[in-house]
Amino acid sequence: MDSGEHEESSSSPNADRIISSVKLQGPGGVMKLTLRDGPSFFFRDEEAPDIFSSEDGPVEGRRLSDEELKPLSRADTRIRAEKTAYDLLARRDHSRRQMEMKLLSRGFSKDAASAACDRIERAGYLSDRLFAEQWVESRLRKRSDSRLALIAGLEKRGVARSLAESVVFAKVDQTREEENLRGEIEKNLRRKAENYFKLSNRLVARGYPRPLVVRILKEYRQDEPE
Amino acid sequence: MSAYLGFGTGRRKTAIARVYLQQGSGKVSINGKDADGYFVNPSELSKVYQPLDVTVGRNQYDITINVRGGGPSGQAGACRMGLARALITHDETNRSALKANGFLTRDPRMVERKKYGQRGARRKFQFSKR
Repeated sequence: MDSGEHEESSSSPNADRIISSVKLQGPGGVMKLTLRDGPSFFFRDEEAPDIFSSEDGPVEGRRLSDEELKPLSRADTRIRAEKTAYDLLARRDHSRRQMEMKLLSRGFSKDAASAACDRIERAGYLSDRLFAEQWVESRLRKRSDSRLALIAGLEKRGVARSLAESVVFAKVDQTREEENLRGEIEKNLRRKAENYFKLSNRLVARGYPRPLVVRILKEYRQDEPE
Repeated sequence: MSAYLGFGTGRRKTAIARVYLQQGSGKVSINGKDADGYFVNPSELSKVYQPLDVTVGRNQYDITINVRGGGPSGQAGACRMGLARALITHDETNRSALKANGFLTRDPRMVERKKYGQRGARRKFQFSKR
């Protein structure tokens, strides 16, 4: 539900904006404020002085003023975005950009998505570097991709190029790339008698450096019986 | 967090655990509390130690875990998976033992949503012939 709907339903003249309950909602200092006519809002205990103008704060039986409703709606949206982000993270790792895009697609504003991602990043559950490292490791376990292909894969998933390069070059050195390339060539040669020219073009298209491809293919051609 | 030997993230239901491995004597701390104090149920507590029991033993490392979300059982499962991944980050040779015991698999089972026209995810309303 969009927080705008809360504003429209609760700021109409007939709406009853009297606070019916304020309860602590789990660990982390998140409070849930419920109005008598139904809508509920989440806010953090530490934000209460900024939201509530009255000295009493959110007290049961008090009426919410117009000036309090807007910041309360914003705080509520931020907390709901954070909860959605944690639910997404509970299924799999995400990069920051992927997380923001998913939150935007679920109807949260850019500010709310960004604030939620900042908070989760500070808590250590969202990290582009960790995401990149784990993605590259799982990719290398099952496939033998070139370094360029891995970097492109990370960029596609929202990781910055500089970070992608540093992670990939740390995980895949020259020797490993050469081994991967040899594995690919042997796999292709086993399948069928291959036109070396086409094979070299295909390997270069997959991101392997051309000089490396040419050198290793030459070795295989020399080993071939006449 | 000072230099650690290994790090792993574990997930189970809606719980997420971050596990840090350091050289030590077997102390396990979860969200700032001792493991015995955090997981009251002995089966959940033993679940956390399972990756250590099949690999290096309980007394080699100090483990620090931050876990959030889910309930006690989900958090225990998340800790177990995170610890298994941290042990692999530290030493790849642990992989075969941990994989054989299924500690590296993210259990995909999640709470199924309730459907309209039914009382629960699968439970229908009581049928009445007339």
